[in-house]
Amino acid sequence: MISSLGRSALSAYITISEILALLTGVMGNISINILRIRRPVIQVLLRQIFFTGNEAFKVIFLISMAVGIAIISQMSNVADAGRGSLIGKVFVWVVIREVAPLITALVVIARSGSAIAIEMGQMKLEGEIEYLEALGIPGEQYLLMPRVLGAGIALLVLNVYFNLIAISSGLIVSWLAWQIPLAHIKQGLISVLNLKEVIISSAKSLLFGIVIAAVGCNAGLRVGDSITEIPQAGTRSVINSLVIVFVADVFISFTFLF
Amino acid sequence: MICFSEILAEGIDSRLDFTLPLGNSAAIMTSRQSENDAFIRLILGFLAPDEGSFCIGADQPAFLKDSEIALLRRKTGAIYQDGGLISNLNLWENLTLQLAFEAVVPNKEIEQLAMAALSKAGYSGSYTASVSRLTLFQRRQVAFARAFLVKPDLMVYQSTFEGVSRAEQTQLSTLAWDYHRGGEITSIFLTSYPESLRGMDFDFTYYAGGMSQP
Repeated sequence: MISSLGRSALSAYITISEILALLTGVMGNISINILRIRRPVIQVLLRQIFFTGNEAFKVIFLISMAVGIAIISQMSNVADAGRGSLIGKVFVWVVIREVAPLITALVVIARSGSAIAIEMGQMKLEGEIEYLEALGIPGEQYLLMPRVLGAGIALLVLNVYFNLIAISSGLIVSWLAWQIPLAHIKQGLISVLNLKEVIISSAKSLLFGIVIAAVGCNAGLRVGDSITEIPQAGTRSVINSLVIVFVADVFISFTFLF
Repeated sequence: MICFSEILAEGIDSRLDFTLPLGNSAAIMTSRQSENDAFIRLILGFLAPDEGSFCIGADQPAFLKDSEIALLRRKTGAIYQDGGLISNLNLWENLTLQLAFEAVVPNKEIEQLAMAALSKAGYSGSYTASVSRLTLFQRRQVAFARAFLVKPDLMVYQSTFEGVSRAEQTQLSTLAWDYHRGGEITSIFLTSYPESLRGMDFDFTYYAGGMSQP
């Protein structure tokens, strides 16, 4: 039992160390190359933003609409028509602070995190990372940096969309179904929504995107010689990302609570 | 010059010992495919010798800094057995990737150079074909074209003339040989199937992995 716990702790420590090392390398690369990013790297970056952001948009659209409506339905039990401002505040506290960064992260973990892990794993298995480096192209610069940066940017944008759609759909439904005056909700929103809230929400999304891609890359790069390790890398990427994202979310929320 | 001195490394157990003057061609006959893999990795600096040393000029590739090894690799054309193409890029992206990354040639010029290189390699298919659609022969043609584009000082061929038809083998070996003769290039041919190098007149031939000399 104790040895099993020890093994798990050691494995977690190694994984986190590897991810941190990967992130340090990527961040170092960004700081060195940010002013002279090569054209092929920009192409990979744009492709990553497209696949992570644009292709997840439909799912995010539906989920954010559902979340907005669900929150407004629950809140209508608590707040009557005269207390619409409370609904606005709850939107900021619940949706902008917590739900939007977390749900967009979950969608990206399921879609892109595992895809990145599988793609990297496939490339590693086929020796393509070495082929790339044989051309004098550093894998860290061409493969890792644009994926990590692209996922971060995409998640940041998805978070903005999520907030806008969830709040809009909530407002519309509250007005149509319960005739809560929009002005009241708007008043509540504005009273608690400040730059700090927006920055925390955006920073969370950016961080989650970066972490999800780094975890995916790391899982893929750990693939050895067997093809059966590729789906395992996908699964590992999802599980590790979930744990890290939730822990990071709690940590950030607590940090900014006080 | 390129020197192998008493090399022992993972996958190489032949203690190969020779010096190849620049501009010459050499065939290294190995006993198995995995030894070819190990040799090409050694030459490109992915594999460090356990014993002995390997050098290109004054450099030992496995011990160079990242920026130095990247520079050395850009001066080396590697024709891998499977072509060494990246599967999530199409043919054209594979072909132009290295030049585009180096960013020393304008895009328009890269386009013209790439088309000329493909034509020189004898490739006549679609320029935007995905790698999975290419035959082994076509992949190697693209690898040749990609190498031509960077005007390498050293060409390394890993079992390049194996696994294709006789006519394709002749076409590829003619391509390699003409390219070697046409410039100040050092060429190393790795194979575990000596028959595939028949008709090629190397400056030096070495036998590794305990393979007996015919």
